[in-house]
Amino acid sequence: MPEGPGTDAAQMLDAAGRVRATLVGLLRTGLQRVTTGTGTELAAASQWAHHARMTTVERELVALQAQVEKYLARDPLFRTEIFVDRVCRLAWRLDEVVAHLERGRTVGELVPLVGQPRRSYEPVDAALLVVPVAMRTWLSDTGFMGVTAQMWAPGIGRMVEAGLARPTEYFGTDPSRLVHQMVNEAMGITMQELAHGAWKLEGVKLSADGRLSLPADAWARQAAFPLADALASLRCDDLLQVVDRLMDDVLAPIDGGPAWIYLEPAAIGARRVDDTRTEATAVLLDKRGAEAILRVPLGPERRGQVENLAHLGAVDTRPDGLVVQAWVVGDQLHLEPITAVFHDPVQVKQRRRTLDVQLVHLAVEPLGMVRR
Amino acid sequence: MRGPLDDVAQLLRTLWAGGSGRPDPELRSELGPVADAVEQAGAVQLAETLRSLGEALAAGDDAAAFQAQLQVWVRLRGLRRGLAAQALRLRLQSGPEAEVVEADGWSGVFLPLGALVVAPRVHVHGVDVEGGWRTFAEQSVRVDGYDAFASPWISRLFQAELTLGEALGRTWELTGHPGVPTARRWVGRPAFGTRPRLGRTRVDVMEIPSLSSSERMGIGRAEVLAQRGREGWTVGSGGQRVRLDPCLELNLDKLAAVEGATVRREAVVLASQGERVLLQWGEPPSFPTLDPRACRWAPEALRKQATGSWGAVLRVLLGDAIGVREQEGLGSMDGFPLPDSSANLPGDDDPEASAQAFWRQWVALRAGRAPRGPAPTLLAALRGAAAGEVVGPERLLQALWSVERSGGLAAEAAVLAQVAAARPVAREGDLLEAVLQARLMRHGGVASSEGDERARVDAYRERVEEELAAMGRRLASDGVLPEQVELFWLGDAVAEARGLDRERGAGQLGIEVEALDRAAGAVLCRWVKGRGAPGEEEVLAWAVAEGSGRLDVFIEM
Repeated sequence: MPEGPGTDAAQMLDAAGRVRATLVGLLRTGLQRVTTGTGTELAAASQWAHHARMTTVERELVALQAQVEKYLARDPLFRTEIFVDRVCRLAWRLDEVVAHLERGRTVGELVPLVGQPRRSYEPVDAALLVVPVAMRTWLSDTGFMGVTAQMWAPGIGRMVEAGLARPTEYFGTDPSRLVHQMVNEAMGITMQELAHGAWKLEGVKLSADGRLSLPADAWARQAAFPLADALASLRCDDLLQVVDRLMDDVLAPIDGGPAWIYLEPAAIGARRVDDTRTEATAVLLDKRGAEAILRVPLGPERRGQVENLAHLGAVDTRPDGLVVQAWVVGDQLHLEPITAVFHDPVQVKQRRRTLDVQLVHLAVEPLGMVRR
Repeated sequence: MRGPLDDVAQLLRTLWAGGSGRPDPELRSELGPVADAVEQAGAVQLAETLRSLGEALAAGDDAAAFQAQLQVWVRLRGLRRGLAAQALRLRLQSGPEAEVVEADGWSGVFLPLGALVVAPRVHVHGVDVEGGWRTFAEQSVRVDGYDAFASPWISRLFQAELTLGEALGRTWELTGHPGVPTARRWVGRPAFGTRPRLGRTRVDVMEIPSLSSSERMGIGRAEVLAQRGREGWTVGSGGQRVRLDPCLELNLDKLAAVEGATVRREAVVLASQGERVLLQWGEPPSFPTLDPRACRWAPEALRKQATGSWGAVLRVLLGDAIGVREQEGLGSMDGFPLPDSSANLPGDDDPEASAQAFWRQWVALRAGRAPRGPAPTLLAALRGAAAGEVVGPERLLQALWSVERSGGLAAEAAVLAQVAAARPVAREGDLLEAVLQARLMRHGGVASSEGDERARVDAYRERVEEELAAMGRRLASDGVLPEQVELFWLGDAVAEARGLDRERGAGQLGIEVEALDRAAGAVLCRWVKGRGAPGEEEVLAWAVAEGSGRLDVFIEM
């Protein structure tokens, strides 16, 4: 029987109440008295969230269950403050869901808050102009690796992303190799080609959170490359502006994730690799002389970024600008360098090819091979 | 402030460790002093929520305790993160003010005079208002090396898609554009933060100085002399060779058809690297090295030359392009034997008459007149082929077209089946025979069911696409373009198979316009130069040029 429009909301309200009651029960019990049964309760709660289509809540509950198991296993990496943060963030999210539903908002409007079990993609009628500004590599806990291109779409005034994902079981753990694979057979361009220059995409579909689906009948045509325009929306003149841009997110109870920033640094210091903290760092100075730390976590998927961090400050290879992901942690500004931007095209030698580019994607392209 | 906030965080941890059911005995006694300390530090609301938490714990109300601790967490988190971010902000703010760096590029108005295109490189040459030579060079994302003037130019310099025609027809306004000054000129390249803005439509207010014959590097006016010999064109200026590219060659061919084998023009040229490049000539300026339309024939001259029986067909075919109204054209064609009339019919074996019958029907149908029946000469040829006579593929294609367009396919189904059975296997490269056999396969016989008809359509489409691909492969390997008649019929079949406009079939073949222009130009320049009446070859060449949308390359429109 088809469900009525209000059924989802009612189910969500019911599940939110039950999950919250589980959290209240968790506080009543306290960490010192949790048992394996607590984990079972959290698993049951994650099922309620699943049936109510609250994907984010479901994931948070699974993560919370993992925290409880860590506590029970006397894992030295368990931190009570992280556990408290996680419970309270989840409770806050649930309260927001209830408040929105009681104010008459529809379930569809709550997608940014509760997520979606499966993304829905809407066809884009006109040709979509996209200007790539960054490319990231990633490796997931669930056995997948991938490469994702971040692109500015001036027609819709937002960032969109397209990517490739492959199981690590068959393809290994080095996602940088994926950039040489075709986006899809029909388009006939590789991820690396997609990530340089601008493209007019036809026949593509777009999800609400900005992910592009490139079906077999999609078509890509090269377009003019207004890089400065694309970066203008991400541009911060100095580190102070970066912090101001992040301030709303700093004060929000639920994090929005790191922000994309374009910055033209005055200088970049030498790379330092800290194996204890499993990170590579370099000092960045802005035009006012203010200082921030460029930070890249060590990991197989970030090998290229760590390698390239050493070339960011070198005279021959120093870029004019950087696209970074930025966030505030305590009283520190963290910047992860993603793309080196050159105002005039440079040549990059990679394998047997020489690319003529303005962007060097630090995760997958060797900055050390740049020739001006 | 850090101290009391750390105490609050510790309280939260203690609460969660012991639980609200049986809280740590010291927790309640600690809540009061911590709340007071927090209040003294100025965080009044956080203090109030701490007291609410204490009350909820005392009352044993778990739900209220959870809500109160959540409020404590939210306020604590906000305060801690806000304070840390503010501290970070103050630290960053303490640095010196950034120096404002003025853009040190060139700002001014640029008057483009022409361009040198060696795809994908584009060098646009021109002068500023003081007459200084300036060049903008770029490696384009996309530029057509032959028809750069009207084809899309995806420019890194403009960071936009436009045409060279648009860019050369207007002034450029530049602000702080970076460039490199050399001894003779200033060279600009695509810049990150700035790009030229197209200004007003170009008016030549500036007199471009002459370029002396000894000049080896510069831009200016000079005479260009082109002479056609047995080996082709020789173009020179001031004792130097002028770069000759396919676009200029076609324009000179068209000019020579009217002016003769020697062409002399006052032009703006670029002298560089031991040769000269023709940038523009004439008033208003035209760009014979960039625009295949730079030299064209006047419609009146073509109209006058379109005489005789084929001329009548041509007048209808070209119509408005040469200033012949449709009714006038059709009227003049009516003076010749009608396709469905047996009166005045030449003999069945007269190929000229058959071809004319086809073309009359073709242009009449294009002008909106429905054929009253298949042309008798063509029908006779078709029946003759069924009876075993040797008939060429072109004539049979014409006959099939005539029968098909006048709705006679069902009536002639048996004849078509016989013709199909009698045709020899098409040899590799025999394009007309291959197209004919594909069409006989499609139209020979009556489909017994809808499924049968669909299968035939699919097989036809597949065969035609295969032939098109084979032609593409041959063209890529030997570079020899098929004949006009082959282009015409293959284009017709491709357009039919794809459900497109059959009269524009040649444009569907995916052949580069440079090759199409060159092939049509070879026939048409010879005709214009000969000043005689047209024949079937010329009509075919004009039909292919029109079908591929290249009529404006030859006729002033």
